[in-house]
Amino acid sequence: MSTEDELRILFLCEQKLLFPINPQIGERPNSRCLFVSSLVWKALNPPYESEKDGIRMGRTLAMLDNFVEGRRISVRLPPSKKVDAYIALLDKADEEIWEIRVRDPRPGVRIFGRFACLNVFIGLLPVYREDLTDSKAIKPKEAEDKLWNQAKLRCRSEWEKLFPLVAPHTGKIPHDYISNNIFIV
Amino acid sequence: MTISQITSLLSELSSVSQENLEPRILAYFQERFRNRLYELVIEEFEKQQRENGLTQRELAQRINKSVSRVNKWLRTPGNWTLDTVSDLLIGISKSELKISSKEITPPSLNFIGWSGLYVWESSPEPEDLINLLHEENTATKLEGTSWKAHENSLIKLEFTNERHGKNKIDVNN
Repeated sequence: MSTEDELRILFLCEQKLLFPINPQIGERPNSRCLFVSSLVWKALNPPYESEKDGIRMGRTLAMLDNFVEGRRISVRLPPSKKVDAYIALLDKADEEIWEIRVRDPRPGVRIFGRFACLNVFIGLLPVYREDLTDSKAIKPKEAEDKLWNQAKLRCRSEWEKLFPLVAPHTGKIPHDYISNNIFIV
Repeated sequence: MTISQITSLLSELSSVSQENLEPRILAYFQERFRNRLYELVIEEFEKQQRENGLTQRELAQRINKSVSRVNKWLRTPGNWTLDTVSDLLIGISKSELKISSKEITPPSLNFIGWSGLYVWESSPEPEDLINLLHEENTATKLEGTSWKAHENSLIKLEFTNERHGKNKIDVNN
């Protein structure tokens, strides 16, 4: 990330369009950086629509702490479909849209986002897993694909609002995105 | 850049009575505890892998589980139960998890949960911690690497290690 991009992030934080996530507990220095959009920030913080949403966001905060504390996390790149990845690059890989996956309690939560540079993730869109399925659809699989694509489009649109004309960070292997303490699934 | 959210969960914890702990706070600590426990088990597995060549297959055989199940457990703590933790720890290190607020077993303090739950996981003991305990006269060294806290003492632990950096923790005994 260039100095110009760093300044852009600082500016967005000043403007309250982007929010840094720091560990909830302790003084452990941030090994990785995580910033979230106002959409994610709003979802993470009270008030919640229901107690259930509060529980899901409590869990989500703990999972986000894992990232910024530099904890050991599992990374998935296509074509892997392993369900237990902490963070996954979604198909198609060249779209550079990732999800942080919070699977408990079910249905889980996904934080869609993109890497701004190595070890710097921008969480752009909170997605409730139940909003990515349509069990009543005649063709559920097709309906689900459509919902996923719509969510990816919204994620991309959030990125373009915050970082117009800036391409997301790209890579070929997980270590191109996160340098330390990862394992590949 | 700092945000008030960092302190909000903790300040909320101290400002409300225990009956009123919000579900989201409980959820946060449940997830955090699970992740720390996972990290503890994985680090122990990797240590045994390095030092004694332990493989997932051997571990699976030891605890009478399939290799695929052990592989899944080591990838994510998502479906762990307390029995899983017990099986993995016994299988990996042939010892149980020692948890005590009064007796401190091997060093490099690793905070893995709320309510004074500490696990000491490696040696040698950090020198600055030992000095501090002596100076404050709050604990007595037992056999090996165990420590017993004095009654009604407030132990202030400050130590450094490579992985966690500088840490300060108070233990109310």
